[in-house]
Amino acid sequence: MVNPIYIVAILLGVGFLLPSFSKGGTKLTGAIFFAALISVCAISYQWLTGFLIGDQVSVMIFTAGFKPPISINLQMGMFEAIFTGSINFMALFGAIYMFRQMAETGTRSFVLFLLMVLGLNGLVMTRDIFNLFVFLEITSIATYSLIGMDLKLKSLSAGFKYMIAGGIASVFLLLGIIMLYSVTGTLNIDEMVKIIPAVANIKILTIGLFLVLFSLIIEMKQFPSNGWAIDAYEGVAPGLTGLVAAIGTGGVFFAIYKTFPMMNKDLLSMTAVIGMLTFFVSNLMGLKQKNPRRILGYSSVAQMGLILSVGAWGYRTGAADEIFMLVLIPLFINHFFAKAGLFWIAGIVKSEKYKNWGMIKNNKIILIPFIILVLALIGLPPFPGFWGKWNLVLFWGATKNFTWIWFLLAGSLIEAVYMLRWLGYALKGEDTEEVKFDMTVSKNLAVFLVTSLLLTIAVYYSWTNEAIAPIYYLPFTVGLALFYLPFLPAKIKGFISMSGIAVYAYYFLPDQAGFNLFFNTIFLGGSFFLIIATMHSKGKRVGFFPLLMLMIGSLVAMVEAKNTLQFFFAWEIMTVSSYFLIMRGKKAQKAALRYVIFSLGGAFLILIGFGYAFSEMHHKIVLPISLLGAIEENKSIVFILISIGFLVKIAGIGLHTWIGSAYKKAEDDTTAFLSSILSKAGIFGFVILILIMGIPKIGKIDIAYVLGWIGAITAISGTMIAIFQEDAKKLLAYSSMGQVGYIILAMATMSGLGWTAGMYQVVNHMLIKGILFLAIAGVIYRTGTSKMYKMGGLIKKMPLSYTAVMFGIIAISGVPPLTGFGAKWLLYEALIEKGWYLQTGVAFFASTVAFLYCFRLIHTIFLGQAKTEFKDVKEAPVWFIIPQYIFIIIIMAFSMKPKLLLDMITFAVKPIFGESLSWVGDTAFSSLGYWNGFVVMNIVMVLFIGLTVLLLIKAPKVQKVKQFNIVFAGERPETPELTHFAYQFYKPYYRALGFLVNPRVKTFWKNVSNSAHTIGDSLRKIYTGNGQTYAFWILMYGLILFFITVGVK
Amino acid sequence: MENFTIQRIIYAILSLLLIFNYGMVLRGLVMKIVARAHGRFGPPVWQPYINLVKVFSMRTAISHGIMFYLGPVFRLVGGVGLYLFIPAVFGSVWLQNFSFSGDLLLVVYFIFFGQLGMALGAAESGHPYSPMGIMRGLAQVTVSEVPFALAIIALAAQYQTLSITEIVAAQQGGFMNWTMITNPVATIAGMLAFLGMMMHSPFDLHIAPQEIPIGPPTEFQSTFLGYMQANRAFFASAKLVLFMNLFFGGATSIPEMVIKTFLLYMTTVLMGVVNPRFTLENSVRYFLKIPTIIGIIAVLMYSF
Repeated sequence: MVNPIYIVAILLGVGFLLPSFSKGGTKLTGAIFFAALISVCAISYQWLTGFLIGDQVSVMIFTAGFKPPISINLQMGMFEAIFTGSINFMALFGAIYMFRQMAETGTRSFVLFLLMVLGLNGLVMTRDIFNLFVFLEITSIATYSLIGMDLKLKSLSAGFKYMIAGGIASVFLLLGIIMLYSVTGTLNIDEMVKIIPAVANIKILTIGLFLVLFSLIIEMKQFPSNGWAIDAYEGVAPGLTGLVAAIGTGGVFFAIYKTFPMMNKDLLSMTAVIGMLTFFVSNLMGLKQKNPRRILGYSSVAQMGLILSVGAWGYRTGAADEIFMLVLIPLFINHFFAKAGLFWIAGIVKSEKYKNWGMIKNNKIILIPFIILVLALIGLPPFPGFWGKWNLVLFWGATKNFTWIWFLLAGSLIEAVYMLRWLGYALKGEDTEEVKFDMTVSKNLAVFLVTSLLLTIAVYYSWTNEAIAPIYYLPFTVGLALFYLPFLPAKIKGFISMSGIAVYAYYFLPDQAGFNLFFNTIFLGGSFFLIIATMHSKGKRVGFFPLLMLMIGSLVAMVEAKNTLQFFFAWEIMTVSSYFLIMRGKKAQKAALRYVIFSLGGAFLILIGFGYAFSEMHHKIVLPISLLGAIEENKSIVFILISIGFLVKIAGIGLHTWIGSAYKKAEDDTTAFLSSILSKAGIFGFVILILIMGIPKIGKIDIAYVLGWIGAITAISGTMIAIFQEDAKKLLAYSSMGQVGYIILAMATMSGLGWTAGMYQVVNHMLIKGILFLAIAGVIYRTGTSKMYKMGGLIKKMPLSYTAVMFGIIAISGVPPLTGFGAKWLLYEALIEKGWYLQTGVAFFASTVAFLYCFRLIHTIFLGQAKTEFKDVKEAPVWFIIPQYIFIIIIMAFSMKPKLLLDMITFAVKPIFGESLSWVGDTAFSSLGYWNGFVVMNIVMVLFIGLTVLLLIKAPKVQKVKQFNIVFAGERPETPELTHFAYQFYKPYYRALGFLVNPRVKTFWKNVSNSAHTIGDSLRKIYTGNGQTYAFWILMYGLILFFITVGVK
Repeated sequence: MENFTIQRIIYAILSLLLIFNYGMVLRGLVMKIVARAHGRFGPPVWQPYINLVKVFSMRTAISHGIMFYLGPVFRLVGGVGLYLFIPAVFGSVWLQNFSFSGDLLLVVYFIFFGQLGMALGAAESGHPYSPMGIMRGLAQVTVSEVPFALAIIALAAQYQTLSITEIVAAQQGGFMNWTMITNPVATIAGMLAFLGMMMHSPFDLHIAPQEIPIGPPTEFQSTFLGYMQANRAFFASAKLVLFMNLFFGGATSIPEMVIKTFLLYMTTVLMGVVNPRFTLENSVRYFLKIPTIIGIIAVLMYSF
């Protein structure tokens, strides 16, 4: 091992010697500069691997061979190795990024850069508190000077404010060190830690500790003493900002972390609270930002607040080392790479408004790292931030610090809002001419390097934590493989996807049983056929198939998840992949954002639920899902939180505002997947949740009863909203919401019949919505509109699509003899059996109201008068038609022989709830009634065929008339195509019942959003941009904190 | 399946013939009665037969397309099928129809089969008055179904069965066992809904004549219209039989059925004669107020 003192020696030596080479030109000095950086990287890399892979023990290096207090001592342990390693590598990437700028400025910038890196390495390694101060000063001075290189007013004034704040912090630090030295008689941190408990003069000691801590808190840019930092993040050149945000705060954090063992519990608690406050408030303030760099600034401050808080919390509770490895390191690494990378991208894309970022959507070199880094920053799997947060929730849960979990996830959600909003503009924003890219190779190389490193670490984490059970690699692998095959035509990619599903199903389905088999069959089978429709594209559909396969893969992974981690991991992958799928729609920006925010909110609630569960389980990292059943104390709250998460996915009432726009704006065939397949993920969630936990009661309130009403109200609300839609996809979206509501209602009965009804409806809805959405997709494909009143009379042009829709609406409305009736029959029998009479009434009302939208859908598009502009449209492409008719065949089979389907369902339901239906031949008997689907179908068929034949005999030659051949009130209309009765079809109904569909929920969420924005906006007013105000804030904050924690005692 | 025999089929055909003729005569009779109430002489009782023969004899039939062509078929299948799923006379062997196919829920849902099919056919005609009538009709059905659904839920709760035969069986043994007496609240809710389902004033906006008739039959003529007129006989009678079974003790003989259904029908007719027509908003609001509240009360009585 190379002695780490060489890190200091090399940086310092090269730094001082470099000017003497300046005559040799920039190339020479640059080469030496990079050689120095690379060699320190090599040294830290050696130590890093030594600790991580080998069995290196921590070493202490004493300068000049003396022991402290005479010498200064440096320590190189696991933590130091990780921090110096990260700092040096990042410094190298930063140097690459900033190379051109530095080369223009000349050798002095190289020198300053090396000094800054030196200071940070020193900050990390030193165990001497005075040296800590010295290294901090070196770092600060080097940083101010580097800022000063950029001769812009904004940059200089930001640098100046930075200096004021840094100056105040230094004064406090120095004062604190003096006081500590006076009471402990040593400057060595380790010695100090030992002596402090025995110090008699508590007053001086505490003041000294407070001053040291507070000065470092200022350096950590904590709210509200951080206005200067935000300005600096915005004003200073992004190359440097990225570095300061990453390695600067990293070094300072390690410095403050070193002082924690000295601190008493009050001070640690204070630090933890300050950090969390900063995290939450900064994210809130970030909401209102429009400047990318300022967004990143707020996010940086927030992340550092979180890291600070967690660090202090670790020491406060005595689990410091564990927390450090499992939480701090992943959080830190995540922030480190993601933030630097994003700042650098912000430097490449020269726009001060995030709304102009639409330009990057065509530049894959920028776009792809940008997407990855944003996802990482939000803390989505598989990135390290996810692992950090997951472990943190686990720790906080295990120690019953639930409030902290709430703050953590609320803050994270807010951060996700503004980061994803920005991402949305990047993916879908309008092209603006004013944005220019700086496509310097070195800058893009640096971004590429951090992104790849981050991805590598992400894979490492996911792999070592067994986030996905190995058998699920197949669909995921197909998905990932397709990412690398963008050049293939869509048809081949579709074929590969179908093969992947088929192979997977062939090998793994036979081993499964019960509900797992049932849901996997639905996910895999449904997807398999629906993919046929996606192959209509003549182009390549770059990006579509990989995302689709990731989504399908995540669904099956979710089904077979063994522990909460695997479940949540799959759930999040599903959310992300579906978000990007929706985002592919032409104008999907806002819709996708709303979808993902609701989904993430739901996911976080699930996570909080797991957090509560951990409090009783004390499992490390993984909690087998089955153990959720053993929870006692927090059973209700765990159940409720997780349920809400699932209700978001199925658009339960109150959480449904995303569904209309997301379904409408997604690509037309994608919507079929969303409704047919993805909406069942929430149902599956409920299935396992209820099977494991049962449905608990809170006192006398039975949650099952509440859930039942939620299902019933969701059903009627979705249906009511659906009938007033003018847009076919929105109509079907709300219909979906209503139909899934029945499933929840049925399952809430907790009876065999109820669950049979629920599962039957799962299959029924999957098939029907597949048909309807694909049929509508075909229509939109040909007509280019989804507004129903713009169409009409298309039956003549698209008879196959019409027939499919007709089957679909008969089945969905529950009219015998098709499968839909079975769903209704089972549902009502189950509800009446349960004694839920009013709920039955509501469901019945919903189901008759559903006729209204069914008729509207088919009439306004296919029947009535044709529009002249569509006189030449053709039948939908065969790719759309094939899956529809496959589904129709399945529906017909199940309608003819309901026993086929019911036996499959009974297979899953019976082991849990026992026998619920008895059979005599083809007649199913419930406790209340009976139904023979086979006979009904036969009677209807015989009558239908018989009467049709009769009509053919009676009226064999009908006189066919043209579409426009109508007469009314004795007059032939001159423009019959305008007589299509379609727009505001249920206007009278609206006059009577429209008040029911006033957008109350939407207004509620809008108010929530507005309030958050307003609060964020008011809070950020403390950042006046005036250096003196900032200084004032720092002093006031210090005083207040002092009186709260130290002064009173 | 042992129920699905040749004998059954023959019985079913006979049963259909009976109900068809009954329906036709009933219609003629009512036309006569209404005319007398108006002080007119009125058409003969057999006028519906004449109408039917007339439309079936028309030489031309105009069609707007396949769905238009099939619409009346759907409609008639709906009417005939509906009747076949209801046991007409309790205890009678041959008037059980195919009621073993399913219980009350099947019957309630099968009502929509013909309506939906006819709606599709009528809509294909392209005549704007057709979908307008359908819109009104469907909208009204959704709300008149509410008290009806609540009433049958109350019945299911009362009798703990959804089998129509068993519901009728439970009402045997005299007047005092009828649902009308044992469960008057549910009966009122059901009967108010019944008014909405029978297409008489005040709930007949969807077939209301303005300058010309509105609603699905607007464009249908000749044989198509014949199918629809034939359906009326089946459909109306089936609904009458259903209500008789649910609320009024069913019937143990054909005369009993005839009397009971005639009285039931006359109730709606008389309501129609003395009432003006509701607009759609009126009827929607109406059904969701008092009839629904009564229905809820009926249901709540069994909830606790």
